[in-house]
Parts: sequence; structure tokens; C-alpha cells
Amino acid sequence: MSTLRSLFRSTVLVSLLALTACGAPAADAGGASTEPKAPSGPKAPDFTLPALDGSTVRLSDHLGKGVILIDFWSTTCDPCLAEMPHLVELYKQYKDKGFTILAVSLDGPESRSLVSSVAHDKGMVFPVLLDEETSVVARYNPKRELPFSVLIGKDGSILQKRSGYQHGEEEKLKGEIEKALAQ
Amino acid sequence: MGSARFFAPVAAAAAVALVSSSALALDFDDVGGEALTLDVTNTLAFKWRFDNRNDNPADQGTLLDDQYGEVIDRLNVQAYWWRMSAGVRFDALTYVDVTTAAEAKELARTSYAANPPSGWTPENNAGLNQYTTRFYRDLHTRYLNTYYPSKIFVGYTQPGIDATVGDFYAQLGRGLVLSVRKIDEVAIDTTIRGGKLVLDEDLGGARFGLTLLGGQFNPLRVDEPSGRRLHGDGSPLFLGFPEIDDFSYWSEAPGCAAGQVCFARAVDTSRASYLEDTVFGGRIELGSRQVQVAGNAAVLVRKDDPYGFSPNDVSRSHDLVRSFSQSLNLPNIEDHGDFYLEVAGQDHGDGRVTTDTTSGEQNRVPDLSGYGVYASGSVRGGPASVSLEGKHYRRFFPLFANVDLNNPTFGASEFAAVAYNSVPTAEPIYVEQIGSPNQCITGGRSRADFRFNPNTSVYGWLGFYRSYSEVDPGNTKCDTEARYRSDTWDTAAGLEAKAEGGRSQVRAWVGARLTDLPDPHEGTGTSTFYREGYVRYDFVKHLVGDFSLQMQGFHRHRYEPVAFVEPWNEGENYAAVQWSPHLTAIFGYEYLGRVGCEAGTAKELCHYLSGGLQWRSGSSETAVDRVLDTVSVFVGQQRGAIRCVSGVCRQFPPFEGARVELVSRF
Repeated sequence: MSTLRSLFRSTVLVSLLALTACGAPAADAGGASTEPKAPSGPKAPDFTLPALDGSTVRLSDHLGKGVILIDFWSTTCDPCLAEMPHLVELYKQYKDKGFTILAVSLDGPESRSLVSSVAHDKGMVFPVLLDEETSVVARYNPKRELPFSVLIGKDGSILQKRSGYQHGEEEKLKGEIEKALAQ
Repeated sequence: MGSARFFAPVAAAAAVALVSSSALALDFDDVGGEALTLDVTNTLAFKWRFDNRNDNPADQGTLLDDQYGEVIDRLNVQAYWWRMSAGVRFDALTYVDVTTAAEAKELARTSYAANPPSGWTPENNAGLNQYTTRFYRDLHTRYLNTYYPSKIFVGYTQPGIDATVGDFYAQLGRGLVLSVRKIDEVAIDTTIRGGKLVLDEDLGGARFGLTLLGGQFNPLRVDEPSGRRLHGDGSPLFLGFPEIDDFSYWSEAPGCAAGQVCFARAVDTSRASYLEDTVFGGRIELGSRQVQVAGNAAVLVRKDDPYGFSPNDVSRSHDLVRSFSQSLNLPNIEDHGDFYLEVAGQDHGDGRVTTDTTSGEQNRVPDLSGYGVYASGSVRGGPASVSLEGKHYRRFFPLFANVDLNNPTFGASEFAAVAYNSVPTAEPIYVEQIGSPNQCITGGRSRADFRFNPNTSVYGWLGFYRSYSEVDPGNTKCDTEARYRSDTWDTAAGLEAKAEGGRSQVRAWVGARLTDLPDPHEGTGTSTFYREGYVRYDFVKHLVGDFSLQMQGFHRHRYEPVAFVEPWNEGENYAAVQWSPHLTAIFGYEYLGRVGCEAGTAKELCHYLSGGLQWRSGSSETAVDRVLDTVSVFVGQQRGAIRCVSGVCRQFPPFEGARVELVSRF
């Protein structure tokens, strides 16, 4: 009986928290003009990361200039490596139309040294960023699944978040990129 | 209990649906002239455990980890407005139908009668009482319903400035000085709760960076695989975190007549199992795109420990640990290579005072200093690339969290692996450490990759390591006598090939790890310390349309004579049929071929079977897609094993049961 009570309490608690968290801004906004819109375009949070080539890359420097795919990956993630050649192909196909990829490596101290070799081996000609702290991935992907990608539209809004990769999935991604470029 | 066990999963499944569907997403265009965005990710998992076949009467915890359920919810809410961000993660863990005190008493009585511990007899009431009390002690910090705001932060970002107050991850250098990262694979998610300021200034062709941080470490308070809860010391920074009660039990009391045993109520006063460690640190960087130098420093300050946690551990027995390093980074040498060098120092001071049990004399643990040198580089051109790594560590220790590993009532040994630095290992990530090899080691590894054409490549590596702390981690002073030495060769070679436009592929490699001693070991009479040969594979075959077949796994042949008399085999093999991108059906087979692989039996080969389904919406266009972003169902068995990720290894208990996980993303 007590276990069922505990289960009920936790369910109510979590439900309330979810509702409160999502509803709070509307209440806090008071009389401000706060028209909810379709939940399809949250703004991409800005971040700054070091790049493999020694430069520093800031997301906001790329926003508004085209369609961006942020791809979180690691040298120790097999599906990430399986997906990467397809991302390279998509980048080559659409870069002249304003598409770019920011490949964010999550490799830590144990595998960081392999990033440049893997990037070379996979032909990653787009910026490879280094999130050794896992700070940026924690904002975009709190569960830290890999691979994980975020498609950002020309207006800087997040169009799609996608976790995992299965062979053949690149066709669907290609369609989404084309759609985003056409907007 | 039976009906409750039947209905509990149903109730929990209903909770899954209720909780998930309650989440909403809102995005406001104009709040004070700026857009306000809410980002919500909810992960809800329900697990039900059957008998995981690890019962060991000498370890009461293994008798208590069967036939119960758990509902784990992690709700992340993050808000972004103007240059500001804020977020909270709320963890809710509810345990269903865990062993009650009455059930524990019966379990103890049955186990005691069947397997009386050495020196005790079934008629010995005092012995039975002590044995039963061990069950109660184990449950005192385990399977406790826990709801708390595990992570919380407020951030400010503008070009050149990033400031965070609250929880943040941090790494200084390559982890030698400080590294707290999110490593979900081994159930570690430590942050620093405090403040962090990052300044970054572009000075034309040069760049200047400064990072300052300070705060207290914030490890997760519940270890999911074991259900054990960690209790802090009441730091005001962690308001709302779980606390522990006193422990009351029956203890033998004096004053009874001869031949009788009397009992009286006794109380162990509640106490922390984790004394929150404090850190201050920073990094200063200067350089260009071609050459970058950085200085890193961190000071770890421990609280006074009135309980004597783990007195034999170097890191935990010093209250002040200073770490510092200097690094040189050449990230791009003419587009054909890179080089990184870091030299670090570690200084353990303010040692704990211990009292000699014989003489009563008080001694302070002496100061201890060490250093580490790590270098890596690569050369690449055309179809080939070669990478090199080297490490030379002397008296360089993991900075472990100040956790009580020993107290039977309040201790939390499951958190032993929580550490605040992470030295580069220069070894494959799946290598399981024996002893503590990296505290005193010299070695390196070279890896070469060659691509024949866009679809075919080969690779291989060779490493050699000489450690003086693998055989005996107690060699904390890094004595280089032959009796402490172990030499390891580690090598592997692999192939990667693709076909059908990359929709089919095979990746496989074979490897070996050989560790020898200069002289035969006293206990085993052999100079072989460790042997392993393995094959790992990942095979994908495109079938038709969006359907593929994937097979992935490994087989290992291992020999560790110090721990096991005979060599053994173990492996994991998974086959999956995928309907991209939505559905995956998985069948798993794991095995362990070692005498006693199932506790309490003489079995020489244990099998573990499992099956699962995973649904991914593959889209975020509709509310249903977002609520049901990923749904995973697992039913079956998984063997207990050490799993290593990011240089951190921990033992996972065997699992037998069902697991449903739902990820909702908004």
C-alpha cells in the first residue's frame, strides 16, 4: 500500500513540476504580449567552442547565414562514425546553397588525441569543434545520446532534434535539409 | 506481495503515459522585447527486476536486489531569454515493492539457516541478530524514494563572456588538473555548483582566454544500478537534497545470566557519506591559431573528516590537493599534423591525523607530490594518418570524491569511482584497469590508419606500458623496484569496409593485451600477470528499402592468474533488424565462461538472453512525435561486468528483468 502511495505521490509531483515548468513563463509574463506560437521554432542557444584547427567558433557567427546542422559525435561512437560519411556527402552537396555542419566532438581525455586522425580519415571538411567539458551538449542534449544532431533554420530557430542513427536515415535528413534551405 | 508485484508494473506504465503527456512546449515571441524559449527534455524509465542470479549469503546486498521495480524520471527544463539562460534538472526516483523490514528479516533467517557464516551456528541468536541487522543496514541507504533538484544553473552569454552560476561541467587541460564531465554510460554525472566565468578576447592575430571557477562538487545522489543513495553534509549549496535518518537496531546488551543473550535498542546517529569537496581553479590561455599555451591550476579543499573515511587512500587522506599544469598546443601544423604537450604537478598536503592503535601515538599522513607528462601528436597526408601518444606519470593520483566506502550503515562504496580529474590513459577505452596502473606508469601508443579507397580502410595500433602500481596499488611512493613492475604490450588491427552506397558495412578488429612481471609472482608462481585476446565486430547489411540487419559484439579470451586459476571466455553479441528510422528489434546473447559465474553454483558457463524493441519518432513535427521521441523496451538478462568509459571503470551488477524508457523532447 505504501509503495502505491509513493508511486502516486511521485507521479503527481513530476506531473506538477512539468506543468509548472512549462506554464510558469506565461504567468510570470503578466500583461506582456506573450502569444504562444507553434512549438516549432525555439531559438538555438549560443555557444563558443575551440575548433580542431585552432580557431574559436561561435554559433552566433553562423546564425542567419544559412542552414546549420550541429552534429554531436565522438571517435568512440560507432553509429557516429557510420553516419559521418553521409554527412560529408550532404555537406559537399549543399554547402554552396548555404548549408554548413558544425561537428561537435565529445571526446574527453581518453580519446581526444584521435579526433584529428578520425576527422582526416572521414574527410570532415567542415568545422570540427571540441566540447571536452560536455558543457554544450548538456544544454542541447541533456541525455547525452550519440549521435545527436540539431538542425537550425535560416532564421536561427531549431527545426529538428534527432538522436541516434540507423543506416538509410540520411535520406530523411537530406529531405529536411532541402526543406530548410527552401524556407 | 504477489499481486502488488503484478500490478506495480501496470501502474508504473500508466504513470509513464501520464507524466509524459503532461509536458508541453511554449515559445514566446515577445517578452520584454526578446524571445523567450523553453526547452524541455524528459526521460522516464521504468525497470522491474527479477532474480538476477547473484545471490551471495556473505554479501547481503545481493540478496536484496531482486523482485522490485523503480521509476526514474529526469526532467530537464531550460529557458533562454536575451543573453540569459536558466535551467533545472529534477530527478525523481521511486522504488516499487522493495524488500520490507519484515521480508528482510525472513530472508536473513532463511539464508542464515541455509548458509551459516563461518563460526556462527543457526542456534546462535546473537549471530542471527547480527546477520539480520546487516540486511537492515544495507536497506537503510538503499531503495529510498528520492526527489530533488539535482542540477540548477543561471547563465549569461555575450561575445567574449560566458558566466554561469549554479551547476557546470569543467575541464582544465586534458583532465590532469580537473575534469568533471557527464559520463552517463557509467552512471557518473558530476558538476561543480558555484560560479564560472570565461573570458575570451580576440586580439587581432592572437587570442587571450581566461577561465575562473569555484564551488563545491555535486555528484549524483543516487546510484541507479545499485539503488544506493549518497548523503551530503548539509552544505547550504545543496538545499533540497536528500538527508538520512538515524539507524535503530537491536544490539547485544550486557548483564544477562550466563548462557543467555540479551538485546537492547541501539542507535547509530545519522551521518554523511559524502563530505562536499570544494574547488577553486582557473586557466589562462594565450596564442594564435598555430601556437597556444595555457596554464591550469586547481585547489581541492576537503572538509574535516570526523569519521575517518577511507584512511588508506592517498587522495582522500589529504585535505588540500594542489594541481597545476602548463600546456603547449600546436593544433594545425601546415594542415598535416598537430602536437600537444602537457606537464602537470600534483601536491597532496594537510594530511589527515591518524592514531596508532597500539601506541596511541598520533601521526599525520605525510605530504606527497607527484607529476605527470602527457604528449600526443599526429601526422596525416593523403590516405594515411599516424597518431602517437605518450604518458609518464609518477605519484599522480585520481582525485577521488570524499565518500565513505566502509561504514556498513551509512557508507556508499558504489560511488568509489567518482573522481575530479581524469588522466589521459593513451589506451583503448575498453581496457579494464587492474590495480591503479596510471599512478606510476610510463608508456605510449602509436596508431596508423590507411584508406585504400573511399570504401575500404585498415588500421592498427601498438602500445607499450611499464607500470609500478598495477601489481600493487599500495606503492604510492612509486618505488621502481622490480617487484612492483609490470610490462604491458597492447596491439590490435582492424578493417572497415562499406558497400551499397554506405548502407552496408563491416568493421572488425582483433587485438591482444599481454602483461608480464619480471619475476614469477609469489602467489601464482608465474610471471604472467594478464593475458587477453579479443575480436570485436560491427556488421550491417542493407536488406531492402528501409530495412537493415545489424550484428555487433565481441568475444574475449582472458586470463588473470592472480584472481582466477583458469582462463575464461566472455562475450556479448547483439543482432538487430532495423526499419529506418523508426523501429529496431534487438536480440542479445551474452555469456561468461568462468567457474562460479553464477553465485552459489559451480556453473562453468552462464548464458544471458535478452530481447528489445526501440521506437524513434525521427521527427519533431507533431506533439506525438515529441512526446514519443524514443521508446525503448528491454526484457531479459545482462551479465554483471566492469564497464569502462572515458577512462572510468565501474562494476555493474547483473540485471534480469524488464525496462521501459521513454524520452520526450520539446
